[in-house]
Formats: sequence, structure tokens, C-alpha cells
Amino acid sequence: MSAEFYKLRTQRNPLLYAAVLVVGVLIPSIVLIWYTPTESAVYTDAFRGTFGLLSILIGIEFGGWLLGSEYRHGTVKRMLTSEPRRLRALGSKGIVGAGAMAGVLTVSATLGWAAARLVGSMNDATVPWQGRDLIGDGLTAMVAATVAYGLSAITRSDSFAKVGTIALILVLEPILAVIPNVGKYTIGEALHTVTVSIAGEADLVGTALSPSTAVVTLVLWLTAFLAAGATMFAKRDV
Amino acid sequence: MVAVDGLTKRYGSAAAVDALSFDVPAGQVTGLLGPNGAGKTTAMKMLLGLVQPTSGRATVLGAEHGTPEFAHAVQRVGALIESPALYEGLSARRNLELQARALGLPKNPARIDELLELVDLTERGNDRAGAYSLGMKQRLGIAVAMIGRPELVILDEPANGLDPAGIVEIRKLLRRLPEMGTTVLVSSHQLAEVQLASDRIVVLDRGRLVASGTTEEILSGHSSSDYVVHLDPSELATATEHLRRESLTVAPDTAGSLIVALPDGWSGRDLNRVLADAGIYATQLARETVTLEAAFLEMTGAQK
Repeated sequence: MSAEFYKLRTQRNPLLYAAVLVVGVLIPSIVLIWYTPTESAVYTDAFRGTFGLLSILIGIEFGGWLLGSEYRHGTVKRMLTSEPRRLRALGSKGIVGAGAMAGVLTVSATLGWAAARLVGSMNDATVPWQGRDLIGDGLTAMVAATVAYGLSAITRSDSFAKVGTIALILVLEPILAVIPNVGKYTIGEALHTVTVSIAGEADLVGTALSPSTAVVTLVLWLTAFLAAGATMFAKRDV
Repeated sequence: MVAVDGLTKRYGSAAAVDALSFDVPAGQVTGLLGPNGAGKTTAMKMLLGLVQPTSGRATVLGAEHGTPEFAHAVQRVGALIESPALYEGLSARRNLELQARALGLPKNPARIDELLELVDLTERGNDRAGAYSLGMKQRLGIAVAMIGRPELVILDEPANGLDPAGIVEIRKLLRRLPEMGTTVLVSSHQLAEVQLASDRIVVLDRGRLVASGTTEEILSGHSSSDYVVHLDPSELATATEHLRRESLTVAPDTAGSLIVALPDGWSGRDLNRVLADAGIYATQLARETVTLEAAFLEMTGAQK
């Protein structure tokens, strides 16, 4: 795990992803300094919109990069001769990656909210803490990263993992969603139910699944991606 | 150090490595030789657990492939497979530090300095590895393989793509490793190069073992019956005519000397006597040297 953490803190890509997220969530607040709106919803919508979009994009990028870049640069051979127990190697990378991503999401969400609150207060607008919504946004990003990570182990490519995750969101999800009795068990629907339940808005928005069914469905989906990735990673020649 | 017995890797119906058996003795440099596609890289990858054998046994540092101990044994092996696996955005120093962490070694900047000096990268140690020349990357790859003071290093084509000076540097480095207590298994398709660097040689062709042993052992079965005779240029025509009259096969070579094939029972002394009887005295007369390359072509030619 020490080596995986060292890779994250010394390589350019993860530092760049973290910087984009942290700086990105500050940009709406910086822009609003000049526009001086007085409605608090403007600040929260601008911040959450940016955080939600950026975090999911960075999640896909980071999740695919984490293992896919080792294949791209041929360093997977070095990784697996240093730690020949492949599931352990994959697990260490995943745990360190998830921890780092959760940390960066927490820092960026907190900074983004603090900036929105500060700029709002300059214009007499109160920006309330939206912890539940931010947890939902963060969870969405983590799910996207997990899918990309699993796909990178299956495809042995960062590019295919990222494109595959986006294709899943934009193409497969809508197709599955229109199939009766199946559509409500998609990863997107399960995630939607979980996030609106965390935000306490399930009654308001309406969901196709109960929260407990949604949690089980989401866990099953993620387990399927990770198990498929782990099986392929463990068995295939490098 | 390494024992391979009947090791086979098949991709569909094609055998990349076919019933390969050889040993790598401790404290020596063993060269794995063969043309491109001979199965050298696949064999090395199987020794490192990167490729699953279809059948056969591979034992590395006393641990057999497929046993729980094998993973621990592989961690004690330094490896450079195909091209140097470097994190190109990191400096040489950081690449070495990363590898030390991956192996669970304690922080030891002195060891990193020592390795950078060994591979002659001390002055460029803080530069990004991505900015290095191919030769520098190969040398850094070897340093990465050496960080854990491995008992065995497996180097796949470490001189690939290097200029002559780079090849000589790598050869010197290989010769120094056994002095440091490290056994070396090195592959190459450049037969002459590995002949110079290795104590023992394992020759592969199309996934199969062609020969193994010391260079002398391998060449002993391929000694030439041809002699190279250096003469005064004015005597070449006379000597050729005289030797042919003795029913010897004679061919001029490009250096202005004669290549004479001796029949069974003839020695260099007999050849010298025939020339002397004609009043011709050779300035030099020597048995033609058989190179590993020539022996290899003969061995694989026989198989084809």
C-alpha cells in the first residue's frame, strides 16, 4: 500500500485530477464575486452543479487511470513482480485509490462550500451546509470511479475503461431503463434512489426502488464489476 | 537458482515454449539465446509468474510455480522484461524509491546513490526518466531490478536498441553482478554479445531447447574442418593450383587468403607440408574459428 500511495502523491495525473477538482469547485464562487446575487440558491446551485459534474468526470478519469495507466506504460509487469499475489495487488491499489479519492472529494466539497458561503455572506446571502447532498454527489463519483476501475481490469486499458464507463452511463443505462421490470434495477436507478434517500428527498422526488433494495442492487452491480475485473486480472497472462 | 523442466506454453495450437528444460546455476551469468520469437520472453515471464505455463515445472529460488511460496520467491528476483518498466514522469531516484517501497524495504538513500553510481546515472538521477535516452532507461531498469539486492536477476534483452558503447556498458555491468552475489539470467537475440557476457548459454529456437552448456561445450560439437591460409599475394594462384591437385577444396576469401577444407584424417601440419613441398610458405595458418552464430545456424538449420 505504501508504494501505491507513493505513486499517487508523486505522479502528475492524480495530482492534476485533485487540483482540477479543488480549483474547479472554487470557480463558481469566484465568478459570483462580480455578479453579487442575493439569493442563496444561486450560490448553492452553482457550487453543487460544478462539484457534481466535475467529481463524476474526475471519478471516471481517476478510476480508469489507476490501473489502466500501469498497462499503458508497461509498469504492470513491475507491479506484479513486486507483488505477485495479484488480488492483493489489485486490492491495495483499489483501497488506496478509494481512500485518496474520498479525501480529495471531502476537501474539495468543504472548500467549495466554504467559498460559496464566504462569497454569499459578502452579498448578504446565507449558504446553508448541504452535507447530505454532497455525500450523494461524492457517492456518485465513487461509484463511477469503481466502475471505471473494474473496467480497466477487464479491458487492460485506461482509455477503454473511461469510454466504457461513459458508454454505460449514456448508452446502456437508457436502454436498460426502458425494459419493463429490468429498468428499475439499473445501476443508475439504484444510485439515484440511494442518493435521494441520503438527501432525505425520496418522498419528494419518487423512486422506483425502496432504499434497502437500492443499496443491495448498487452493491451487487459494483461487486459484479469488481469481481469480473479481479477474476480477469488474477488469471490472465501479462 | 532456477530449474525448468518440460515447461510448455501454448496459445491455441501454437507452442510459444515447448517442453523446455534447463537450469541456471548460482553465481553465474546464464544467457538465454535465440532469434526473435524463439520463446525467450515467454519463458522468462513464466519464471516470474506473469504467464501461466500450460504444463511443466518451473522452480525459482527453491519455490515451484503454483505453490504459495512462489510469490515470495519472485519478490526476491529482480526483473527487467521486454522494455524497462519505468514511471516516466518520475525521476530515476523516485523510480528507485518507489520500487524499494513496493518491496517493503526500509528507506535507504545510500542504496539509491549506490545503484545510480553502478549504472552511471548519478548526475541525471533527479531528471525525469521520460527524458532519458534508451540506453539510460535500460540502465535504470537494471538498477530498479537490483534495488532489493536480489539473489537472481532476470533481464530480457537489456541491450536491445543500444549503440555499441551502450552494449559494452551493459556487458560490463552484467559481468559485475555475480561479484555482488547476484545470479543473472539474461536473454538476447544478439548471439555474439551474450557469448561474451555469459558463463553458460541456453539456446532456444521456436520454443524448443537447441543446446545448453558453456560456450566451449556448445562449440565443441561444431568445430570447423576449414583452415585459413595467409600467403604472399603473388603465391595465391600457385598455391590454389597445387592444393587442388592434392584434391583439396580451396576457396579464396575476401581478405586475400585461402580457405582450405581438409578431408578426414588431415591436420594443419599435413596442409603445411603440402604447401612446403611446392616451395610455398604460409605467413599464417589457422583453423577457422566457429562463432556461436555459425553453430546456432547449423543447429537450427539441422532442425529445419
